[in-house]
Amino acid sequence: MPDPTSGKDEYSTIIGADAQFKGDLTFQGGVRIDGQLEGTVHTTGRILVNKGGKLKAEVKAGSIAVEGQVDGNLHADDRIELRATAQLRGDLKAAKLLVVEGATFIGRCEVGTPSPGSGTASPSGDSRPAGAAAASQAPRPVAAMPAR
Amino acid sequence: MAHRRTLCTQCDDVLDVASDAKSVNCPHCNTRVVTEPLDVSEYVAVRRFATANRMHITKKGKVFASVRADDLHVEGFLHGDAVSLTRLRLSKTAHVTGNVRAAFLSLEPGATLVGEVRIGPSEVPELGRLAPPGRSASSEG
Repeated sequence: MPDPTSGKDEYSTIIGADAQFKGDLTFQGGVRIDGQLEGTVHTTGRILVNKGGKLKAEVKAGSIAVEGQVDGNLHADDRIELRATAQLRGDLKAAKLLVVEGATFIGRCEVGTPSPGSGTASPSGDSRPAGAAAASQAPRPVAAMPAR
Repeated sequence: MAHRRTLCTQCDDVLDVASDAKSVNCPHCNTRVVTEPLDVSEYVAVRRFATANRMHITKKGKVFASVRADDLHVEGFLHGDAVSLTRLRLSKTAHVTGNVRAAFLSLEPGATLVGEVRIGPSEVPELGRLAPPGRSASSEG
């Protein structure tokens, strides 16, 4: 019975560990990157940047998993996973994000945001603007007063 | 009485505090530092909200402030910058808007996070002050 997690079944394209590529890549299926890549990568499928992989690229994919080094912006339609050995320097935008402890991430993050214009509406429907609340409200009692 | 080491939330200098102390006066900057764990289940709107201990913003919590804690767990709403010296954990019901900085980030699918993010032990240099020379500072979460 084939192993559903094997790289061969999930990733139709594999960029090997000794490969260095510079340019724009477009795929239809999954891509596993074990080597070095510079440029842009587009796919509707899944991208895995393996432990030894080094990416200096703009990445746009269905879903992205990072175990290696990425210097560039990631944009996923579904989800982005930063695993324990991931090092990401760049912006990140996805519907869902999974970050495992140990991952390094420096950049801007936009995850799980609803449609533009909903702003910072609170879950309970409080319509008080955040800026006004912070400037004018005295704190209600909590477990301990904050240090001033 | 058990003591623990932590950092002043104002000047980042090392403090040795009793484990059950609720607050102390920092001898270096003379600021009152909250040292007890905080569970926030209400609406809080201040400029800065800090504790030299763990902070938990529960599902009902709604915080409009810059927060700082040794360990931060968010299940509710946070609008403001967040600094955690060790772990920053966002549960699936968390909604965070602001810049975050922590040694480790754990984010469940479903959480909302919008802002500048700086995650990694090197992004929290204050942590190095807690470790005695020759020992790792990040051995405990």
